[in-house]
Amino acid sequence: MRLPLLALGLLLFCALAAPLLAPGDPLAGSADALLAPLSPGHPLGTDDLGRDLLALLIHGSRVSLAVGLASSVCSLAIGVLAGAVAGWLGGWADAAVMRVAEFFQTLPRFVLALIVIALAGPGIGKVIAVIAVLAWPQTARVVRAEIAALRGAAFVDAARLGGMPGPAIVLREVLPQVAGPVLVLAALDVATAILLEAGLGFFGLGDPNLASWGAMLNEAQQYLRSAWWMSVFPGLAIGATVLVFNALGDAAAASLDPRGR
Amino acid sequence: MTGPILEARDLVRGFRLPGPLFGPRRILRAVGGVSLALAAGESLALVGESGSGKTTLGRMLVGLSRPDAGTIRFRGEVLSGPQRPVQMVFQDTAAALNPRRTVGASVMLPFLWNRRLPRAEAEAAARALFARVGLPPETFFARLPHALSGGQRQRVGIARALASDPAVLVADEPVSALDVSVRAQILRLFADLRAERGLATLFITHDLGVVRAVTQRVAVLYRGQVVEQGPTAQVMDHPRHPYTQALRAATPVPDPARARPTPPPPPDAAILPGCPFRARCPAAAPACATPPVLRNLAPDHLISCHFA
Repeated sequence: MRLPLLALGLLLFCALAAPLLAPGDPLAGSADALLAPLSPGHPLGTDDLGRDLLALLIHGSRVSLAVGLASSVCSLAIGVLAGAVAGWLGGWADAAVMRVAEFFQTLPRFVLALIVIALAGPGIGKVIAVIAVLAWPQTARVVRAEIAALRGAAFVDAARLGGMPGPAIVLREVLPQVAGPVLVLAALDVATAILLEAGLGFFGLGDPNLASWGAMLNEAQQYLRSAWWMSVFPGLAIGATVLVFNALGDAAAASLDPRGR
Repeated sequence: MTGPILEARDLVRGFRLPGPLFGPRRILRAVGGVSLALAAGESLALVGESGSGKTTLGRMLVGLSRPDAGTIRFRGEVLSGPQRPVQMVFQDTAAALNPRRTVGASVMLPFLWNRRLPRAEAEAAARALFARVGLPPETFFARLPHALSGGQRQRVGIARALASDPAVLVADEPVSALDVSVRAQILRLFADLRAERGLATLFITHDLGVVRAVTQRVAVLYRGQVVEQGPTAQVMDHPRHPYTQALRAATPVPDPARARPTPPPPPDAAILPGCPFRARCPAAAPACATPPVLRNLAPDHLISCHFA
């Protein structure tokens, strides 16, 4: 639990304090240092426009984390609500919610995101919305299954006999039981959202006014042989961040098991 | 004597069985027209084998399950849905407690919702109940259910039921999942609470030892119907219905010299029309093709058999 949390703290700190940490303006290039290798002046080298890679990388963490966290929170909210309604009410409501969820699950994620962004124009808000809309069914399915199983549990019956109204039972008695698997999913959602955002950036569909890891990789394509640093560092950053969120999910699952306390 | 505190009349409840994709769905009649009355402070046993409809009946009485037909009255008023004065103690002590809440919080819940007490008062009241059911609150109040033994959890379950200040307690196999050594303690607790609070108690059980120990009256259920009902001593010592006789004979006796014949095994054959016990009854006769009605053998002894 310690290590992934520490890494997350570091990432958040990088993103929040980017202007203070980064050596200079990430988007300001210098003509006398194009594709410069690693040096004391540019610890991670520069890109084809002479921009400092360290500065780009630090500022890029903002985009990745913002997209990852925001879309995960949105998909979590939709998914928990839809899953709770479907699982608790069952029957007709369940069937309706699940058919909608299946519809979204059958859509090829990346292709749809590409099409939407290509048609609507790039923008970080649109990326977040597209990812959230595509990711919620998974959460909804998990929540629904858990709640449907718990609906008939004896402790739920006991809460009803204790005078708790249905919505309060769902909120206070049942939903906390699904917190574990849902948090795991949310952490994984962050990771896939970061990957998806990077993918969009790689295809040149990111926000052109923001430094992002995906966009950095996009530009690095042509210089794979001549300037390895342009592709390696953003790649490492993406990989490490995704890994951190996966580890966080696992840690959350372990610590939320009441028997483990 | 005043009227019964809890009265069920002609309760019917069926369950749809998973059937073929096409064609009629089969319906299992778990409870087929049961009438029961419970007087204030009385202790009634509901006995019968697995599948006799005991639990379904108990769930309907506390309002957790809706009858397909028939009415339940509490002090003369028709009940629908869970009500504060009618509470339940569950069989599976682990499943009956929220695994993420401390047992103290579980006992506070009825105080907070059913009785609308402020938090501090609810906690004080819950702690007092812990002490009453024999769990020192300073040791147990903040524990999670998995850190308690089955007997301790059942004490928590009883405390929670009492938290609603009920007049009727339905206890569904409250000791069947417990070690033999703690059964007696829990049964004693039930008896004490009944005496102390005037609680009417319905014991759902298949254990005739429990029936003798804590109940005054007994109703014998077979395939969703009451086949015999009367004072515990009378029904247990002189059972008149062949099913009650078989049930009593099936109780293990530790003395081999007093070994009793075992009843015939239950056939999974289709339910025959007429008396529900016909297929297994040692005294079955052609007359049993017509269903017997529940009739008075004595003023307080009811039976549903042509020959008793």
